[in-house]
Amino acid sequence: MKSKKDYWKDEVMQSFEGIQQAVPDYSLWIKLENQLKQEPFQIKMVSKLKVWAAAASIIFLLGINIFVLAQNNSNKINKSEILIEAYQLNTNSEIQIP
Amino acid sequence: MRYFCNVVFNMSSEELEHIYFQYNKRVYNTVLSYVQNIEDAEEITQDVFLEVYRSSENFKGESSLSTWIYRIAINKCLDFIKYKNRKKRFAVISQLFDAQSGELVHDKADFFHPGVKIENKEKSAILFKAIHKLPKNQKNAFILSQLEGLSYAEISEVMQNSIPSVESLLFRAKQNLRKQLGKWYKE
Repeated sequence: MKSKKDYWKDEVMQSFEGIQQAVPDYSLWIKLENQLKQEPFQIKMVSKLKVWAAAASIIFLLGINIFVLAQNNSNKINKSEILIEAYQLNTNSEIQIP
Repeated sequence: MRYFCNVVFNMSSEELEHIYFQYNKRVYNTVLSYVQNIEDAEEITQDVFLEVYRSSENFKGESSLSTWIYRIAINKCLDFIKYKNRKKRFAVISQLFDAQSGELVHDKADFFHPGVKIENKEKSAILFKAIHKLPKNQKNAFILSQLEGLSYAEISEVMQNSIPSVESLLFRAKQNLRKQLGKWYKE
């Protein structure tokens, strides 16, 4: 058998029955309209994916540039070493008197 | 669906006006159920439609327009409640108690929904107080179902949950509400 407390709980739980929608005041639209007029420009949202894609391409381009520069420098060193070896050049700066 | 996409993309103020008058009651009532204060509800409703206007480009038409607007409204409400609770915690720390009653100055007052039948006013205020104490997801499910009259399928779309989990959330919400009400019963 239901207690008084349970009956009361049922009544409270059913107290939203027949509830009518509350109507916002018309002035709310006027306020919103005024706020829209004050918006200097429409804020455009950029998706996270686009931001990450841009960051990844910048890192990729920087990486390629660093790699190419490093390759060029090592090529220069190699060429001079080949020349010294081929012509048996003396790299010692001291002049040898016979 | 395509029509909604075209309407919402690069929205003009006239298009927002059309959307506002189509959805303002639903948004306002949902917000009112969460924040339980008319002034706050008006402010948040305004914020919701501003957000709809600003982020119209993000609406891809994957869900219905009403679902998208409901999601914005619920997120705004939950953010607002979080902000209010933070303020409340600060008040507790600062010991802002009423000199006469000894109660917290920021304590929640009873909320009388303007659309409730007169004979149910008192009881519905108690129910609103109990709803306020529900966990976030149970609160979402209960408000959307009992106050907004959304179907389980619609609620699952708004909450991005499955229908069985919505059913379970509603069941637990009702159980928790009864438990909470038991504490407030006066013989």
